[in-house]
Amino acid sequence: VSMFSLTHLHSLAFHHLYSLDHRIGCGDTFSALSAAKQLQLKSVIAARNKAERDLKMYTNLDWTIVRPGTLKNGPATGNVTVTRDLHVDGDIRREDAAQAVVRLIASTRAIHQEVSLFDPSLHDKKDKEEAHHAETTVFAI
Amino acid sequence: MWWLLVLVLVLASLTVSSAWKLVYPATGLRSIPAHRYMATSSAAETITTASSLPASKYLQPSKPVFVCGGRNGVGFNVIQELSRRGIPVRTLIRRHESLPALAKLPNVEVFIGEASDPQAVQRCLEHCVTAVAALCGGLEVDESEKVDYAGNSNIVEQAGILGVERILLVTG
Repeated sequence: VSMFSLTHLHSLAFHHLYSLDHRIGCGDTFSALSAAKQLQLKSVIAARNKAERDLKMYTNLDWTIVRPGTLKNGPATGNVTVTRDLHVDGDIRREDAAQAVVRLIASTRAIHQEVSLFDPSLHDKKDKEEAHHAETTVFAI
Repeated sequence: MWWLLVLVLVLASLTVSSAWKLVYPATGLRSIPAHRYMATSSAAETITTASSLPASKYLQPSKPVFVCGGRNGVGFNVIQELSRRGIPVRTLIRRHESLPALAKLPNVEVFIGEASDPQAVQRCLEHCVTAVAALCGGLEVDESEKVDYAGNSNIVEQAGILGVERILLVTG
């Protein structure tokens, strides 16, 4: 009984994280989460932040930290905004995020950078009007 | 009659403070607003990812790319994308469930093991020039400590030891 319930619990928890309706919020993107979500994801974020610290401080690899926005399913649109402004939050489809990751591997400009990804074409007009009209500096890869 | 006034004031302040807590139950204070910034950029500033890739020493048909966290989500899509572009991929998964989907893709080598296991990761990273870690644990403290911290930092450490040059951490 315990074996079954443990496996079941794990898959439930995984599914919960997989179907999040907002970004994870590691590093500087933490402030883009609401207080309740910060509380909910505290352990995941703490663990990933520690791994990021290891990467930045104890290695001399050509690293890039990729922070996709809220991940969605669906076919790729081909439009991805890559930015170093980590307070940006928006949606991105998993396929688009993957294509951007492959591009970022090949990009020498992305070395030693933390970048945020989102897809402006997924947000309708109303959404844009409500949003803060902060000029996002786009990072060319 | 002054005490009546004081009593009314005290009661009013109590009501206000409890209502405040109802609105912001998590902290009792005003929560930090979620910044939901949207780019106001034009289409010209948005990159198009569908076009061909520039030549890079990190993406070569002769050097495999190690992708960890390929069960589903972004990791799996990264594997699909690399495989489509003819770049060999090595991946490490924990469970056999995702094996059929991965086995269908050309140029993909699948290893079964834990990302926090140094030997398993070393086996995958041999001859690789690039590593991508897109791991996902769970919401429990134990699981995130084991996968999100131990897994990621083990990949980072083994990559440093084995001379991998480029590493991407997809954390979120």
